[in-house]
Formats: sequence, structure tokens, C-alpha cells
Amino acid sequence: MSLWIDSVMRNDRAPTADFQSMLFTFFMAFVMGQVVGWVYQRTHSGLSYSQSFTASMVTLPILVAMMMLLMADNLSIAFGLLAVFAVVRFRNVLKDTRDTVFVLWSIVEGMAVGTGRSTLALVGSVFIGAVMFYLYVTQYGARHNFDTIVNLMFNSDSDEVSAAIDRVLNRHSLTSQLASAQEVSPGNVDVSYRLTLRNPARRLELESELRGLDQVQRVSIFAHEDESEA
Amino acid sequence: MPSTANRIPVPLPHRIRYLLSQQLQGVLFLLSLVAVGVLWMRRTPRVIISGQVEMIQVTVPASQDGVLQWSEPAITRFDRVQKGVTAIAKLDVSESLLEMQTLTAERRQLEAELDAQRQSLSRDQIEWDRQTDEDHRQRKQQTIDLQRAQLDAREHVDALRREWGDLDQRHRLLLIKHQETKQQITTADVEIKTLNAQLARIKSLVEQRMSPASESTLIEQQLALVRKTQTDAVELEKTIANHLLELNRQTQATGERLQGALAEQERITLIADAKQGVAPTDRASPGLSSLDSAAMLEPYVQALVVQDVKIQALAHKIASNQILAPVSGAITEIHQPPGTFVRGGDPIVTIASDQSRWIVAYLDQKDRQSVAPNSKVQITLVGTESLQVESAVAEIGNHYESIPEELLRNMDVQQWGVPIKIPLPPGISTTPGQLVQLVIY
Repeated sequence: MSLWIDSVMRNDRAPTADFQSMLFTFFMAFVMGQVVGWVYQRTHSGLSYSQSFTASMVTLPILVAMMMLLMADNLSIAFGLLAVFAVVRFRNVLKDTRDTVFVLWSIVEGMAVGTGRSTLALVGSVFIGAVMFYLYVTQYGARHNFDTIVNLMFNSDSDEVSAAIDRVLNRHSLTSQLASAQEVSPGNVDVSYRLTLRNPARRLELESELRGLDQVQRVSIFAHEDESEA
Repeated sequence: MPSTANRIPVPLPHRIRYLLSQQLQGVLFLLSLVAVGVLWMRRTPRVIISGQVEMIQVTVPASQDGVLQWSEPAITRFDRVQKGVTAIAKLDVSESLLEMQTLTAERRQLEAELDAQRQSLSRDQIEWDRQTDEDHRQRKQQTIDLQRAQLDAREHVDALRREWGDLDQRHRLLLIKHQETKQQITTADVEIKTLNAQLARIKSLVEQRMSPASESTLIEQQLALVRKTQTDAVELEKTIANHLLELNRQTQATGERLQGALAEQERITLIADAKQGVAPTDRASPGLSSLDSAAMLEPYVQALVVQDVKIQALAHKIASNQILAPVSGAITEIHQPPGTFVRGGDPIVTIASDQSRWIVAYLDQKDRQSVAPNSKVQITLVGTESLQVESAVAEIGNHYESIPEELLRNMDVQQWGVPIKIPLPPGISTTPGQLVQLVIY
């Protein structure tokens, strides 16, 4: 155990350009980025949460690590990077963090190829590209995973209506969450559900089943891939 | 509780998508952690330093004293030379050639003297052989005479010894007899006195008619007898004394003769020993022994040997007047212009060798313990990052020394390090002095 702790505490080494070191650097940066992203995702409070920003937390450490491998104690390359980035930044106003990541990625790839670090460029592009696809596929950073919003209004006098609505929603969805409930008039409640449909192609069937329920007056369904979290 | 009996089946693509979105993050994170762990444990301590391809500069000295001349064609800076082939310069050897002629003439003279000496010895040998036969006969006769004389002298000495022995024995016997006679005389004197006293007493008694006169007569007879005995003893004692004197004289004479005989015998023995000390010449011997001949010719032979040594040294000196390049490379500096008189050992040119066998680098004190002989090294030639070769640390120095400027990380700060040597892998082309990047595992 003490050997492991010693290995952890005293393992700082200068990065080198060999393949194994490169892989270690990228994987380590990816793991650290994941940790940063998850912590940010779990601890963020407020309305300005952005999935794109959270996803960038995963990619940025990898890019910066690649940058440091590229520079490798070379001041001229460091200053060159600084200059290029400053030029790009001032010339283009980047609204989205994800755009910044891609710009940075492009810059770093260009510098790697330009300084003859072809292996680093290739490995970096493959790894970062894979990470980007991973972030896309897993919808990394999305706090709420749903693809459909169902708004409906019903008469709340009868309890059976709620149960019937739940049965229908349960039949069609993997997960459902009551987003809001508002009594618009005495006895009439306007509710909104966030659903992850079991089969998005049968959305219309869901709508027709809901409309077929007694006491349900208005049904509207929105297909929603991403919320306003973007 | 809503029934799940009528639940819509989830299409496979949607199921996969849902799984990916829910599970993939965790799975990938765990896999990444495993990969990091594995790669972490496989990371070995590394030292990254700069090194330099060994630069060997050889200063070519003059092989001997002489006036320097350039070879044809004359060399200039940056000319390439080949080891053992390219002639850099030569030294004027005209004086050495004259000296060689002198030495050669001297050697011929020495050879002539040696031959003359050999002929002289040969003539002496012939004369020696001739004289040897006569000397041999004379020596043999002398030997026989000496032996005979020795034998005679021995016999004479033995006879004299026997005679002397007899005389000595007779002398002893006479001495004993003489002593006895003296004793008889002394006894007779005592007896006479006793008898006289007795007679006087008897006579007084006779006068006093107290004793018969026959007693005095008897005593007088005894007295006369004793006196007669004494007289005879005295006569005998005189005779013995005379004989003793005679014997002493004879003994002395015999002793002197014996002394003479012994001296003569010793003299003859000395002569015989002296004769034996000289090795008798044998007719079969070469006369002058081979050792004698060699001893007489030795100075000439030695002089020839010395002369040969001088000639060889001078020949070597003449042969080495041409100075060839000791290593292959390029001339970086010319120290002496042609026409200069140089002494043996003076530098003439400096050559930067093409062949470098080592890469030299320096380890900081903090990295010293991480590196050991045979540690794997990855070499990257500066300026050609794509060219990487592997080697191993061959040797680590045992002292800290000042790091050369070209290997300093910071020119303004003097650093100290332990030198290490790394052999250049075969097949790569390097230039002496070239900087390289080293990663030592």
C-alpha cells in the first residue's frame, strides 16, 4: 500500500514524445476532464447551465495536454501558439465554448503537423475525435435526458383521469417526469410531462391515446432532442 | 400502480441509444481509469538530457627533428585526410643520408678488421699446435721426474724418521738406566753413611769390649762391598752419561737431516702441485681455446653490433621522415608552416577525426541514481526528430565535472554533472560535435 501511495505521490515526470507516454497523457487528461465535468454538472446551481460547456470540460484537458506535449520546453513554439491563438481569438468572436474547443483543436493540430510532430498530431486527432463522438453519443453534460414534452389539460375532479394518464405514459415511455402542474381554472389542471419515449416513432399513437381519455381536454406533444440547456 | 403488460416494445436502435446515453459514460470512465492505471505502472523513470557526439581532435606531431617540408600536393585547412595514406608533411633527411654513408663505411672497416684478426688468430693457432707437441713431451718427462723425486724424498724421510725413532728409544732407555744408576749411587751413599755410623758405634763398643771385633770387621766388609758397588755405579753412571751425550749428538744430527729431508720433500711437492695447476696441453685440444678466440674477437663483434644498431636507428629515422595522417578526418589547424625547423614532438597539424564512437552527456546530481550502466537510451538527433535510435549507457564517470557550454541548459549558469558514455549505434550517420537528445530509461 505504501508503495502505491509512494508511486502516486512521487510520479511527476516530464512528458516525452514516445507513444506510451502520449497515450498515458491523453487518457489521464480524459479521466481528469470527466471528473471536472461531472463535478461541475452535479454542483452547478442556477439557470446558466450549459451542456456544451460541460462537455468542453472533458475536451479541454486533452487539448491542453497535447499542447504541452507539443511545446515540450520549447519557448518558441509556446510563443507561436500564444500568438496564433490570440490572432484567432481576436479575429473571431466565439460564442460557444464548444466552438472554442474546436478552434483550439485545429490550432494545436496545425502546430503539431507544422513542427513535424506527426505522430502526436495523428494520435491527438484520433483520440480527441473519439472523445468528441463519445460526448455526442452519450449526451455528456445533459442533466435531463428526455425526448418528448407532453402538455395536456384535464379535469382534476376525477382521480381516474390521473391514473389513466399515468398508464398511457407508462406504456409509451421509459421515463417520465412531471415538469409542471398548473390549475388554470377551478377543476382544470394544465400539466406538462417530460418523457423519454420507448419508441419515438409512435409518438402520434401516444397523442391519440391521450386524446381518447375522458376529461382530457387539450393535448400537445413536442419532440425535443435537447432542452434549453444548450 | 400502472401495469406494464401493455408497454410498447423499445426498438433496438433506441434501446442502444438509451444504453449508450445512460451507461457508456460510466463504462468508458472505468476503462479509462484502468488504462491510466496500467500505463502509470508501466511508466519507468526517465532522464532527459542533451548529449554530444564525441569530437576527437588529433594533433599530429613531428616524428623527429628536422626542417619541415610539405608533401605534394600541399595540405590546407579543411582538407580531408585518410589514415595511414595521406602524407601530411615530410622532414628533410639529407644530413641523415650523409650520416648513413659514414656509418656504412665505418661498418665495412670494422668488418675488415675483424677478418684480419681472425686470420691472425688462425696463424697463431697453427704455431701453437706445433709447440704444443714438444711442450707436451717435456712436461711429461718433468712429471715423471717429479714423481720419482717425491717418492725418493718420502722414502728418505721415512728412513730418517725410523732412525730418529730408534735413537730416541735408546736415549730413553739410557736415561732410565742413568736414573737407576744414580739411584744406586745415592742408595750406596746412604748405606755407606749408615755403615760408617754403625762401624763407629761398633768400634766404640769394641774399644769398650762391649762388642766383638768381628762385628766391626763384618761391618767393614759390608762397607767395603758397598763402596765397591758405589764405585761401580759411579763408573757405570759416567759411561751412561757419555753414551747419552753421544746419543743426543746423533739424535740432533738425525733431526737436522730429517728437517732437511722434510723441506726437500715439501719443495718437491710444491713443484709437483705447481706443475699440476697448469692444464696440460693435449694434442687434441685446439691450442688457443675457443673461449680465448671468442674473447679476442669479442671487441670487434661488439663494435659491429653497435654499428648495426646505429645504422638501423638511422634507417628508421630516414624512413619516418614522412608524416602520415594518424586518423581519417579533416585538417582543422596548421601549426607549423613549411621551412620551419621542428623538434620531435612539436605539433604540425590538428585533424578532426571522422570517427566518433561515443555520445557524451552529463547527468545532474539528482538524476545520477536513476541511471546505471546498460540503461536503455533513446537517441534523437537534434534537427531530425523523426530519426530515433536506441542504445545503452556504456560507462558512467566517477566524478563530477564542469559541463561544456554547448550542453548547458542555461548558458549563464555553470553546471556540473557526471559524464556518461553511450556508444553510437551502427548504421547512423553523425557528425562529430553534433548535439543529440537523450531519453534514458
